[in-house]
Amino acid sequence: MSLVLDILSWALMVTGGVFCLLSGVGLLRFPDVFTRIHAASLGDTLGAGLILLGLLLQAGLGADLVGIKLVLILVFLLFTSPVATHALVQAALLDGLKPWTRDGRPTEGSLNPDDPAEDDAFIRDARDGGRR
Amino acid sequence: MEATASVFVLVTMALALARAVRGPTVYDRIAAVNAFGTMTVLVLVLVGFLTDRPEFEDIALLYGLINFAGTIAVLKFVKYSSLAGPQEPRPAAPRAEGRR
Amino acid sequence: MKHALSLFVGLYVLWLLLSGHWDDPLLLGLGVTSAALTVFVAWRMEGLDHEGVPVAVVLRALAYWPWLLWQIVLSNLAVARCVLNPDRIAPRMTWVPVSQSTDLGKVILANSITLTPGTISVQVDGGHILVHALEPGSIHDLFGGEMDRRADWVEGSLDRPAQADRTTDPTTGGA
Repeated sequence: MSLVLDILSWALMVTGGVFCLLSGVGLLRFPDVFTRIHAASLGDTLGAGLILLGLLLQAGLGADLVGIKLVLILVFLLFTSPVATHALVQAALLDGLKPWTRDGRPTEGSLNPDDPAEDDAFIRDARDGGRR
Repeated sequence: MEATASVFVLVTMALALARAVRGPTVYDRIAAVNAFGTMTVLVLVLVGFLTDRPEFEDIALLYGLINFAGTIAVLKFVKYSSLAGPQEPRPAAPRAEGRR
Repeated sequence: MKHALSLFVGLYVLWLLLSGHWDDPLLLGLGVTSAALTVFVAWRMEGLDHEGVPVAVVLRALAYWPWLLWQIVLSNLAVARCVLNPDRIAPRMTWVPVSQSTDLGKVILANSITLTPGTISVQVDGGHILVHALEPGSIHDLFGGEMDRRADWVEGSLDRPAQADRTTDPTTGGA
């Protein structure tokens, strides 16, 4: 039983490690910041998740709280990483970076910063702060 | 077997560091450093298991939260040149496509 | 009051899980103190409402998570294929319609979109979310609306806030 558990946890950890590695490779290979962030989220989600799951199989949800803390680390990662990603992408767009596209044309949707109907105080502040 | 995963994660950290050095925009660097921080959390947990010291998990937990707060703080600083939010208008600076 | 109490209980359980000392009166007392202090700060920041402490949503969110985790696995595989063969990528950024009526519901959906690799929500504006996608296929899935329906279901347990709640002008900062 313990051997099966060991093999399973080893497989999970190596798969997670491979996903982390792919996220690093994507970070280097992709053409612009927006696509690179997609690659980075690879390691934040499945990479971290599989490694922590593999360790969880080793530790078990025992009385020494090691397993609970692993779950908490994963939960915190899953809650914080989308917020950081979203803030990063929005800041990059507000700063005037144009997303890379395959045919070089602009994307069909944009932040449309000149729209006066924009009712987001934070965006407006950021834009005015950046414009002046 | 934690060692195998650690090697993968350490290589990823090196790749993220390469992206942080190469840039080209400041947002590439922030994204790379954020990914680097996530990998640091994983390395901390893995080393804790390798050396049989569960205290490392508490450090990893804290590091994950500080990594998030740090990313947001750096973004805010880049955006406003201040951690307190938009204040005085800054003198106009020529910006072609994002800051370097 | 309901929100303050549930936040306090949640924080204290977190304290107990992280400390691991359940027989030391000093540590238990310090836990009560710091949890109470955090609730006080949250109250001062006016975070103690249905958005800051969404008690009703948590249970449904637990049922939503397994499906979301499965979606994360699927989209991870798609992005991993893109990394191995960068010729596959064809980034798009477009506005996707959403059906959520409350801000919390939109946040749940936008966070789910960002959490699945391959799609990032950039901006929420009224009934639409601006989404950047690595592959055209993943944005087709969003237009299909499966995730929208499920986030709607999670949001459904909310007592819809009164209309007055949503007319506060963000520029005046509310209260």
